[in-house]
Amino acid sequence: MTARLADAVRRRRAELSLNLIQVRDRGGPRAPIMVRIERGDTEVITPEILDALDRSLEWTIGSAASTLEGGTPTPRETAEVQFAPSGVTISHGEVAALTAATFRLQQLSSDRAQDSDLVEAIEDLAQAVAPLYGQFITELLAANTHGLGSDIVVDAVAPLLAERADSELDEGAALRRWLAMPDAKRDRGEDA
Amino acid sequence: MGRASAHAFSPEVLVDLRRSAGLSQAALGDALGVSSGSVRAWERGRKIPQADMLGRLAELLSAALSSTVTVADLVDIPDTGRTLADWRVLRALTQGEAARRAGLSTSHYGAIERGDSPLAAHSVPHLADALGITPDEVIAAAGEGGQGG
Repeated sequence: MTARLADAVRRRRAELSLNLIQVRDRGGPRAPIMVRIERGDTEVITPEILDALDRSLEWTIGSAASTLEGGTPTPRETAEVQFAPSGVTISHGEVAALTAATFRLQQLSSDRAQDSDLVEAIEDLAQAVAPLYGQFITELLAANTHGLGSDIVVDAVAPLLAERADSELDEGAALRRWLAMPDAKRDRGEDA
Repeated sequence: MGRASAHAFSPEVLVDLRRSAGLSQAALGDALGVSSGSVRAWERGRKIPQADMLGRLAELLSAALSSTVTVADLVDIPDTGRTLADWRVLRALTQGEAARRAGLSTSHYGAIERGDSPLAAHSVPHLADALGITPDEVIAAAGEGGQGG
């Protein structure tokens, strides 16, 4: 049954266009070991090697092991197309800095409304950044149900939220805006 | 099959990485100052590159692939139970160069590597320096020698 694993490994590596060093760099087996696996050599197979194959060839856990026993590997849904923060770790401070810089650019561009290219570019930036702080605040709210106090990201975001109080933002954003208000203000039933 | 360094070279790794780097056998040979025939012989497993050539191959492939290719990627040497020859090849040293670094004659060094000559205590630190390993690793490696041929 090893020929089955060897074939599957070779095919998958070609499919992903990975050379032996790239496999290694993804936590896969070392290059000479990969060569032996692809040759159908059973001696090198260990549970660790099978795990390393799943990891580096984007198979679901246990795929290599089941292929060895006559099964078929299952490709993993790739995480590469996901956007931050699910795909990339961005610190609290980085979100705040990015958001604050975006807001500063928006303020500066309001004095240069005649430069429509600039205004448009900054709007594009603001839209690109919005999911970042949006996700961040949602998570923050989930953890701090009694309002957010003087969190640095909330402080950075507040002007942006105020700016876009109209229909531009979705319902989720409006909810976050409302939740982000200080408790007292919210309790009085004030609008965001 | 013994796993002396001479048998540990993985021709398939060289083929894979050379192709991935977009290099022809001739281009790789030119860069290394050898003929394309030599490269072909390595890739078919008919000849084995010397340890110093393995080091240059690793360097060249690293640059061509913008990655870190080491001698350990080109030869099949296990993480444990390494012989003196294994360590020497991993350090891209020929027997002559390892001997020179250890202050031994090439034939004496070769005899130690093969297990034909006993490892003298006073040679241990010199061999450790020459191979970039600890004295304990030298003693363990000498104990592994001579088994795989």
